[in-house]
Amino acid sequence: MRPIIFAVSLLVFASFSFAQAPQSKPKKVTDWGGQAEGPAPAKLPPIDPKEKFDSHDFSGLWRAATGRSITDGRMMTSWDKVPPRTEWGEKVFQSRLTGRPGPQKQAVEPAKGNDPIMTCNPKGIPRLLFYTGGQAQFYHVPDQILMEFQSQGTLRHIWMDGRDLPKNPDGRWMGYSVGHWEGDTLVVDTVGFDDRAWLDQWGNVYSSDMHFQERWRRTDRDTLEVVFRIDDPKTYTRPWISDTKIWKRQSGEIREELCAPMDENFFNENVRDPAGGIIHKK
Amino acid sequence: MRNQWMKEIFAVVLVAAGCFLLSVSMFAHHGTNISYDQSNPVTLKGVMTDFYYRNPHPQVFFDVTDESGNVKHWVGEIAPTPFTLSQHGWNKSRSTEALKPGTKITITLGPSRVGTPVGVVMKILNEKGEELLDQRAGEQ
Repeated sequence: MRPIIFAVSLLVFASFSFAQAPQSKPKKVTDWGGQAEGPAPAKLPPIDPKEKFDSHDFSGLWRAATGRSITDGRMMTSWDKVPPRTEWGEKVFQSRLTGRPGPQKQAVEPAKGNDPIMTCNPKGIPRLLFYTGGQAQFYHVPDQILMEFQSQGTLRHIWMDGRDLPKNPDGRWMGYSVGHWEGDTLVVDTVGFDDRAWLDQWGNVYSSDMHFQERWRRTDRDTLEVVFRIDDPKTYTRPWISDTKIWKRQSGEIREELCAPMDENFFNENVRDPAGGIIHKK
Repeated sequence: MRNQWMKEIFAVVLVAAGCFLLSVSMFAHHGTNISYDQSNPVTLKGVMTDFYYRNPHPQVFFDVTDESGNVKHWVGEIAPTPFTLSQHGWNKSRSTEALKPGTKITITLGPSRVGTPVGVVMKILNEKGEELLDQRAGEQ
């Protein structure tokens, strides 16, 4: 009887796995409009271990790897590794309301909480790096590396011409980024933030004085590894160093994923608020 | 012996169904875990009135008529973004056609915890029993 049980189990799980795969073959011809074309793009061919790649060239489409854990790509570390907050950091953290489980305050009513992106405010850097739902395209151009984020259609400039970080930078949603190579590691330092943005979807905090560092490394044709570091004495009593994050190369193309206030407002009025018990009269 | 066999088959199917529901619900986007009770899903038979394939999440609007003829207007939030749906073959035109007004659906939702007729969609079937917008990787 046991072999039968095993066979049935295998069949059930095989069908479950099959269901995860795209159900139709990619179209050969796509219409204009990006978002409108159909099936998922073909997967990249398997990696040939002997295939050479340029470890100093990140050109192409990438995506933060998704997984079952918030530490896979959505947050610096697990909650138990968040550094102690300063009084200021704690006060700001406690002012944030999200609809997500966690140690932060939770918004049941109104359901939308006060996450700034829910009214289409910029995610900014670093939060764009923690959005695993989208993709980002790297471009190498003279004196810069550009990162085009699908989410909110955002362009990021990383200056590679040897300039220093600005001394008293104005606050920007994206910060001001300067990069350099240390061997095969791309080190990007960013300062000058707008601290109204959230670090991640759980409302973690940074101040406008934060120094944010990324250390990127291309470990094979299809993999980038990156570690983030936050030095922000106004918010945390010690530096916060992330787990190693994995980004995977993507086939296909970058899509339009703009946040249109008219769409977001419609969603808030018809779904998010009513789900939290707030009914808008029409 | 036969009872034992049936129990084991049932257990296997239960685990597989659990995997499916978990995979659909784990990565819903904004506030989903707080707003909706996905551990007590409801299944409704309704008729589509509107469908919006938009960010941040597509939305299904449908009417449910009870035995007394009373109509309740429901809204369902599709957890995956349009981008994720499109990666699984459900582009805007296909989705809109499949859920055009008048389409009869059987829909399973995690309902709002405060009792309003809103829910996060866990499964939609059409009259033929075909699953619509099926995918297994809704993202945060």
